[in-house]
Amino acid sequence: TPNAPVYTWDMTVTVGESSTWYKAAQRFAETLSRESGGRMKLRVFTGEQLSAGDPAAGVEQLMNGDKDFSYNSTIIYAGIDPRFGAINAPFLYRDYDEADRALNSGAVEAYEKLSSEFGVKMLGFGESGFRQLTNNVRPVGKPEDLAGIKVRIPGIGMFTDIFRRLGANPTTMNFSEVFTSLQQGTIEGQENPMDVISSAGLAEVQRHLTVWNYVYDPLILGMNQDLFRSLSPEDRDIVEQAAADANAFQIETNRGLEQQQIDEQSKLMTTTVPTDAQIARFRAAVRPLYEAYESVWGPDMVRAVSPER
Amino acid sequence: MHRSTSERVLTVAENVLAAVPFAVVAVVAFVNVFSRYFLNASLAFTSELTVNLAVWMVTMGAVIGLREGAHLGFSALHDKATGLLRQVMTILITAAILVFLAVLLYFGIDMMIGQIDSGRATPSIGVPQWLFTAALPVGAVFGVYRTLQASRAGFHRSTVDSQPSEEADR
Amino acid sequence: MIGGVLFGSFFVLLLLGVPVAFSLGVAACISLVAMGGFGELSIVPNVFTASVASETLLAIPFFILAGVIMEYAGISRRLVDLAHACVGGRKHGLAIVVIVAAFFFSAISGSGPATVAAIGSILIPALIRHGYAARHATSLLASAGSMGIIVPPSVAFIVFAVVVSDYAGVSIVRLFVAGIVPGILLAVALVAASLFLPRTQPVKVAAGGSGGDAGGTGDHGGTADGGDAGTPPSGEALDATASQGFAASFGKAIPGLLVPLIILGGIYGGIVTPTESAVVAAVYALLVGLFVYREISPRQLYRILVTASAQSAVVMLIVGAASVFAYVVTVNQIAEDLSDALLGLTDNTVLIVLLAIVVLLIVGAFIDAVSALYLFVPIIAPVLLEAGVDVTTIGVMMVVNLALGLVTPPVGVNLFVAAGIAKVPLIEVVKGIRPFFAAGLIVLLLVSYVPQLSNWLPDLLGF
Ligand code: NA
Ligand code: NA
Repeated sequence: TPNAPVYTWDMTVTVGESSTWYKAAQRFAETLSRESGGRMKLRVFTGEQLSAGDPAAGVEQLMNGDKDFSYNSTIIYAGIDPRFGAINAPFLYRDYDEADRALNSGAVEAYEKLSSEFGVKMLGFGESGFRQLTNNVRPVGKPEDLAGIKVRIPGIGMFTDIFRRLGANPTTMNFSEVFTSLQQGTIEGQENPMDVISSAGLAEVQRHLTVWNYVYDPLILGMNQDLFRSLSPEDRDIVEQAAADANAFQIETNRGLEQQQIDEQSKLMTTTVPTDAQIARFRAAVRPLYEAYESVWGPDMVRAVSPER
Repeated sequence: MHRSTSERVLTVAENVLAAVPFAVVAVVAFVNVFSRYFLNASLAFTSELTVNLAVWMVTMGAVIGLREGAHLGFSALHDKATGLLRQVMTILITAAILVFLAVLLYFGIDMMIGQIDSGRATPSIGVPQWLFTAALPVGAVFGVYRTLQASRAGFHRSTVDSQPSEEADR
Repeated sequence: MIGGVLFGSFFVLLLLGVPVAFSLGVAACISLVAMGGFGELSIVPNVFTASVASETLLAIPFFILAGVIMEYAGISRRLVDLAHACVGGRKHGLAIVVIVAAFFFSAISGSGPATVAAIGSILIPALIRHGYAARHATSLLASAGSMGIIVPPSVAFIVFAVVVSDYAGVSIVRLFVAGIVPGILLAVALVAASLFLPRTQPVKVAAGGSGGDAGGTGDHGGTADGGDAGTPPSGEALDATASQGFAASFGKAIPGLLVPLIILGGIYGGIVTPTESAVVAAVYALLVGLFVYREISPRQLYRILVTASAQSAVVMLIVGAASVFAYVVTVNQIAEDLSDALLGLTDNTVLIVLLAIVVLLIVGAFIDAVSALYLFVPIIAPVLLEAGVDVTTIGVMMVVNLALGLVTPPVGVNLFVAAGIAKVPLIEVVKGIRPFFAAGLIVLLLVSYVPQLSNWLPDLLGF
């Protein structure tokens, strides 16, 4: 229709142009443009450039309408409201199958509802993947192996508590200083999704990799809710379908890449894949956290993310 | 005199609101290093406190900067101007500073309200975020007063690092 | 279009006399309103706080605090004494003392004006008494102080690392180490230039002269109300201590000389991050001031904190406002357009580098290094990276370039501070700056075209 509105929207991703987040965001932009006949233009910015590099401030922009779209981890949302952190609980899912089953049986709806409370229309989940551990001290296959290791973690209370419970010495630090600090020994280990471990070349300064899937890290593809509601029903369809396509593409690419990265990095670092029995020991070690955090996450979120076993 | 008493109270308030956060930030940061290396237990939660307190330190420090004429700028044309032109320039400079302070005041309060509504608190120790954001409107109010004061004096001291201005000695 | 509004209003405000931080902020606000009405302004407090509340940038107030404490503690004066004992006896010895002392102090201070302020209140009066014209004394101090942002630690390198991270990753530590050789080169070049300074006969000053007055002109002035005066060193003190000899001066300066070891050694040895090294240096200096030199009284802590927070805020307000400015640049993709235009001019690397140097010399004449980095790294860094220049060289080149801006009128912070200390008109300082500016320019060209000068040491040490 000739009178249909024309849009120019901004979207941010936390990481750089080589990431699957960025590629999916680009694909989202292309689909929007194509399906709307060029009416929907989406500009994608990397590295949280619109909020001076601060992802939490970026999520606030999304919530109050200063920004239109973003891919942000639930870990960042948890910095605004800790309920968002429920799905990042330690050793919650063994593998992607288990995560997918939980997502499809209530977790997604729960996150849509929660996001909506903060003015964010959640257009589904992408995925940063499972977070893995690297360190320079010793191979880590059981909780005792972490004793005293200085591990860099994200600046969220739960991560401090996890690594405390596991006997490590957690510390926060800007990611830009992590490589040098690992090299110099200021810190001895760090945890991140495989893509970060691989693209930052951490194997140059790390000896041991533990593929322990200890935290599942989904990405909310968020849109400012007022903006979404201001769209015509047809335009909402276009946005939702393009988002679903982008998320599916992102997750598929990320999982394919992750396996490839684990294979590559295993050649560069001694790699430990804990057995189910060992994972059970890790899980037992962090069990008290679940009790402490249930009130923080709230019963609804805890129920929604619990694995379907 | 009444005015000089209130002036002194104001100055002390500004100094304390800048210096105390600075002291806390420095002490916490040092204790963190110390405990990581000597007690093998880092206080990972401290970084959210230190970076957020920096907002208070910066806004109130900037007010002291306005008070002392310490903000760096290009003052050559303003210094050369005389008479009406100089007055007009002084008014425009004042207006520009006030515009930025007004934006920090109005939209800073806006941001505070949003954070109170969403209940945003720092992720580890749960300090309400708006307490840090409050530095913007509070600093802006102090700043407006100091700007008007400097404007009346014609922005005579405008160099850096609270050095007495070379202009003042000409 | 928005680019025109943004840069246009910025320069109008700047020329009008609005402080740089407010010029940046107001230009950004005007552009935001032009982009989409007053509602767009809600981005301002968001970006401002996000940029200021940064763990990396927290190093800036900490390094400034360390510098202020070191001056109160008497560390800077003892460094000057040591420099005097080393090289003071020769012809032009005192001029060389200035450069050596500035180099020492640069290794513990992260800013240019702080370096000038710390040693200038002792050395400018001394130089004048030894027969140097005021214009030469002040311009020498101002130029030597520009090593403050080249020799690590450096506020400018910290800001460069933060801003350039959108285009290429480089750690602050690597940049710090990369600044050492260029810093030495600049010191040598300044020494060479100072050998040509004209001198009259030294003026004899009666003992116990006007030292008390000079004592008030350090950077302690006026930031805190009440309280007793600090103990900044006077000009005469230097002559008195000069006769102590090398061993005694060295012994007394050891606590000061340990500071760079704590900073760089702490980072290199894997004990602390750059931000942490700054706070450790501050605490160390405080302990020295309180218990070793006993020149800091607990009451002075309040004055130190107020002074340091005001000095830090002057820089950090620029960071906050420049980040809002940078937001407008980013959403409108202004930097990309300017970079493309720059690349469209020529594809000759030598010419592109020369172009960048000229642009930054002009920019550096009008605005400070931190603002310039926020404004021009997004435009220049992608161009130079595209032309094949490595990110370390780009950082060193831009910082040396902007260090020259510290002594280029009309807005040269080091000139202001030196003039303020000596109580001479700014124009006098400017008249004396030419030989030192030429020396700096030679170093700038060297580091810009010889990447090994920046990369050799960090590569050797494995950063
Ligand atoms: Na320095
Ligand atoms: Na300049």
